[in-house]
Amino acid sequence: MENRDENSLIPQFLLEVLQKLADVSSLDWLAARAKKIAVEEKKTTLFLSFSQASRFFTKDGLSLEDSQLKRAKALKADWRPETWNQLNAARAYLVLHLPHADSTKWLKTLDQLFETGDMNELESLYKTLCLYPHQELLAPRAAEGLRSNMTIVFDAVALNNPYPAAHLNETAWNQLVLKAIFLQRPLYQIIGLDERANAHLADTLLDAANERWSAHRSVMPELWRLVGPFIHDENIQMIKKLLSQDNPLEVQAGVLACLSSSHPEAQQLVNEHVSIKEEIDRGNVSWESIGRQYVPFQ
Amino acid sequence: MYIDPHIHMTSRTTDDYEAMKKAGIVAIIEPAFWLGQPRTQVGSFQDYFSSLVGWERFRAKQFGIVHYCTIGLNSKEANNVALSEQVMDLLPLYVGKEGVVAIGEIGYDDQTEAEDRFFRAQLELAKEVNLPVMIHTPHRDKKKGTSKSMDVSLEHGLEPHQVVIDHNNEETVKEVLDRGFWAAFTIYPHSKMGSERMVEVVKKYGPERIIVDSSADWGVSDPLSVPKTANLMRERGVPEEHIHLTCYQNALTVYGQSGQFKEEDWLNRSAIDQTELSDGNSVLRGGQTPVVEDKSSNIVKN
Repeated sequence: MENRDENSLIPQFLLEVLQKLADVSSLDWLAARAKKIAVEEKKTTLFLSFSQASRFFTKDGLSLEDSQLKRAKALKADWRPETWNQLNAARAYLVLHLPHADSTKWLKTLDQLFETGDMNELESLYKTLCLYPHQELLAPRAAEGLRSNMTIVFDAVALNNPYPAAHLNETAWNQLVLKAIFLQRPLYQIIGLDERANAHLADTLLDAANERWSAHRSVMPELWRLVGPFIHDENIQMIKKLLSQDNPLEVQAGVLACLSSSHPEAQQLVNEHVSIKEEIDRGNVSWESIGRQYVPFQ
Repeated sequence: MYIDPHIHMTSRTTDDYEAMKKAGIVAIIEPAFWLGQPRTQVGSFQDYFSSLVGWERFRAKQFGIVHYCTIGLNSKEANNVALSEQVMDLLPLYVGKEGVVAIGEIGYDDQTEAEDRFFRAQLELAKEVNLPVMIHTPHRDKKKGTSKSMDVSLEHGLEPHQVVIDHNNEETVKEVLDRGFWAAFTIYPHSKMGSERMVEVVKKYGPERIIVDSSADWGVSDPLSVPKTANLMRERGVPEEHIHLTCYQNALTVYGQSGQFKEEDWLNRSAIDQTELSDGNSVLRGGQTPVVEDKSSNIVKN
């Protein structure tokens, strides 16, 4: 079974990464606890050590070497442990030792961790979504995380996490993107953004953009990334309006959106912004560069 | 810099957080307590405890205040024995979490048998997980209740330096200090202490092991009790060092024994960045300009 291999290789990888970063005594503690979690009938060790991991591991980044990064991607496509901290990794290591042959029992215990988690524990639990066994059972949990008002929790599901793109249905996915825009999160950190773009989402986002323009508020430039492929005769007016904005990031976004459209008028609009097109071709302007430069609430 | 080591922020508004920050409060401890009416389901306790380590912590952070909490089954609700037994099973899930600085507030209310049972069980828990204890002393029959709280704490093997006796007054303070416990005073209009009486207590007993807090909650209370009392002490000639001890350092020393309450948490805290939030259901509503604090100045812009 492919899953089985993956399930033992990933904890091993996490431990190797931590070995270069943490104290020997912390690592000994972690290994002993995980061993106990793997065989324990009552879940006391899991619950206590999951919390207490904060006493042994810091929130400093994982600082991975290139070879380690490569291995991580080979173990799990699109996984981004470079966005994890050491405490996230230690907690994932513990939870991944939970016996999972009985999926109902396993999920019940995992739910208990989620239901009683503090802010940082929830971050760790949600970041690990893409690594748990029984991936198909976790979509409601991911959707629940996306309902959180704690940005740190929302981000753990929505950003740099391959789980949502792989498992959420269209409604839940669109909710993720819409809320990310509402919370002004950096969209370029959402994995699978272009692959999961859809006409329904584009329509909803255009409504949102109109709402903001009516209220004399700015529209987050990355929003247009989701609209580009769905430019048509009725909404091209909005792209024209976007291209007339003063903010250079919005104009860049307009040109990028037009480049992802096959609508003839969109091609024409690109030609009216030759200098931006050149910057795009040189790699100086991209959705990522726009996302990085954008300061929310301006 | 002040610490309010006893305040129930779940009942307070964002205006309070802003005012507290402006008045110099850098860190707060929110003890688990009752909510004004008794809970009837264990799930209500679970969600309450989760909010103390989750949402409320996040909310405080947005205003530049570091939020800690204590976890415990309060004495009023301990009288529902069947429910309390379930809550006791829940406590181990929370007491080991980050930022949980004590078991509390626990102790006596009506001083019933059930209260006694769960008070003792939680003292044992505190000992097991090596956390300090925050004790709520009763409103009625206070003097005897306070003595008994200390007797029982010692009986269960806790050291006086691990235990804070809260809601003291002129009648209880001497015994608490004489026996080596920490004496906290709640500056709460009408029912507990006033600032002026507090100044006299500090003048009379000195600053050692005395702690000032607000216990502000859903009743008529004042989240600025600590800075206001500190200012009054200053006006009335109490030495600055004594103000520092009673309104900051003593709380840090006793709850710091948990290993979860460190000065560096607020001295090195990340600058306030309300752009982290802004959801329609969050603390900022559409159209409001978020506060992004400039670390180079001491002024928090509005």
